[in-house]
Amino acid sequence: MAKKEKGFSLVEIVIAIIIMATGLVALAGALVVGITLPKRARQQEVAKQLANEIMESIIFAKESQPSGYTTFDAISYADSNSLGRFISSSGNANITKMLVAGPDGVYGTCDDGNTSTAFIDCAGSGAGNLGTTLRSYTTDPGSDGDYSTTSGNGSNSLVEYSRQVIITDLTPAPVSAKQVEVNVSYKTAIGNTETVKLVCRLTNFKTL
Amino acid sequence: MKKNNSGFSLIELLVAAALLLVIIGPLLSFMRSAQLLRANAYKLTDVEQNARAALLLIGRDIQNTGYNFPPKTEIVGSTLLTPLLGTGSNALSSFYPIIPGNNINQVYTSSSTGAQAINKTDQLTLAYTNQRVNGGLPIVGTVDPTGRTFTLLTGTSLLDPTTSQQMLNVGDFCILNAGQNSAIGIVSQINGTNQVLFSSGDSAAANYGINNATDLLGNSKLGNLDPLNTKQLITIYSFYIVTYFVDSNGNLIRREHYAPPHTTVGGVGVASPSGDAIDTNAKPLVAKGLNATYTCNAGNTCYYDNIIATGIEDLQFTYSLVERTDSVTKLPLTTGPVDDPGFYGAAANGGNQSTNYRLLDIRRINVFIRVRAQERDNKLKDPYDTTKKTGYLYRFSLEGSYNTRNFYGSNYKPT
Repeated sequence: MAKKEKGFSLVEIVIAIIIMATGLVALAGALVVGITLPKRARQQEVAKQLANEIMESIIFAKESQPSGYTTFDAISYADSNSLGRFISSSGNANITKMLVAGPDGVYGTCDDGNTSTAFIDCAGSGAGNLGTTLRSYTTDPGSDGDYSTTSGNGSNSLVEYSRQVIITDLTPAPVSAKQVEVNVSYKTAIGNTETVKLVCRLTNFKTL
Repeated sequence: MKKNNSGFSLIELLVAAALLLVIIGPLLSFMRSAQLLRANAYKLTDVEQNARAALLLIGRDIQNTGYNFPPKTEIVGSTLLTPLLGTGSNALSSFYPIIPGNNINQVYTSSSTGAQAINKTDQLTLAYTNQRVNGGLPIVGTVDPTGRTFTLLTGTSLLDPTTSQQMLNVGDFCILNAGQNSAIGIVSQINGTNQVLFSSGDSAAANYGINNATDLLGNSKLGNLDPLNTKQLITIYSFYIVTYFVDSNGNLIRREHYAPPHTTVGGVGVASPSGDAIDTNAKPLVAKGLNATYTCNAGNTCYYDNIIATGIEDLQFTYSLVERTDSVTKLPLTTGPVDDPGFYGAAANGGNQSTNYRLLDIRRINVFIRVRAQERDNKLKDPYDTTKKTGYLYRFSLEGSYNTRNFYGSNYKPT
């Protein structure tokens, strides 16, 4: 009997190609992740700076006592405590877009998003006085090449970022220590939401 | 039976190859564009790292600034400090650990049409005590009526207990602190291990002794009125002065200042109102980083320059101040950050130098930094280019906010 030396059939080849293609497509997926990683790192870096900026603004308010922050109690929510200025935490009410700090220069408060310079009273207002102006970075100096002249400057609103400030009393009244948690979230290129979290504890200690 | 040894037919092979092409082809083009994207991403990452490094360093120095500084430090009559700090004819009577400069430097940028342009950038000078000297603790001793010769307390030494090196060097800046009063002295000579001479012609401490009716403690001048009590107890701290600015080529520079090394005229305990001789060839005995270059201009300014980032297109500082409403001579209540809290900003640069005491009110400094890639990417169009001719120039902006922690508390309450 003659020896049987059969090769692959067409069907076998097609199946092999399909298996190979499946593998390659999976590899392409990894490639996509690879491409989006630098952008993710960039977003993360910006988010870190934003979280840090928000925290520093709260420390500034606590230490330097500008209008609206003359007591330690002002580092609390506007609705539960008439002395407070921060946006209510009920539900997700205090997750907002990355708004500008408002006239008080402190992020996470009820006057965020306003561009006026007049002081806005937050007493009991929750999120009632929020404006709509987003934080933005200038990205191009325009045709004159000078950032200090604003004509023609290109800018990039931080639309993909959102922030949240959560304040927790650590001691019973009269409160002498608070925990402040800042969350800055951003949407990545592949659609995930990632969050940078910063936690800091404040006391009403004052240097004499 | 016939042997079946035929393998693929040509048709079969062609069909298989065609199928392979159909499936692999798009993948290949996808990989090609991925490669391009990745190359761009590397450029951007490079740009971002520059911004990040710069922000980190500036932020650290802002948080350190004013450490161990007395609220008010006299630099009356200093012929060295005022030109060093660039105050020109507007000589300061006091030294502050933060000295802003609003829109005073120029950097070459590129307009959106590709033409060379000029952008104005800020600079910031910060000062803080040197924690490497005596472990950050003050050096205690006595000073003679001229305010010039400082002798350490018996049993203490200028040698560092662990390294046995001199803790102070000629050209160092020192704060001379006596109770509520303080002055700046510049080390001009070191005698042995227990005596420091401060330069006389430019040291405020010396001038306090020579020219003022009162000594550093506010008492009547000791040398004339109380010959028995010719030495008073003071403490000295060594401190740094650093300036951040962007040069015209877009290099962010951290400049560490030193006084030009002196040769003391007149010897120990002898007042020399005309000033000491300056030795521009001598270098301070310090090494500041691998890339530092030392420059000493005739007479006035000596410094180490460190390039800490490149490709900087813009550097801007804004300042959050303590609010004040107290008098007509002071600025009105400010709620948001201000671009120019005084000092440099004034006269020539659109600010108000007469308000430089507000420098003590700075509680938070916001730093904006914008970085650009070295070259345009000609594969992409610049969206801001109205002529649509030039390629895209990668740019990245980052902003940081830092509290001046050492200004909190009663030391720097508004006066």
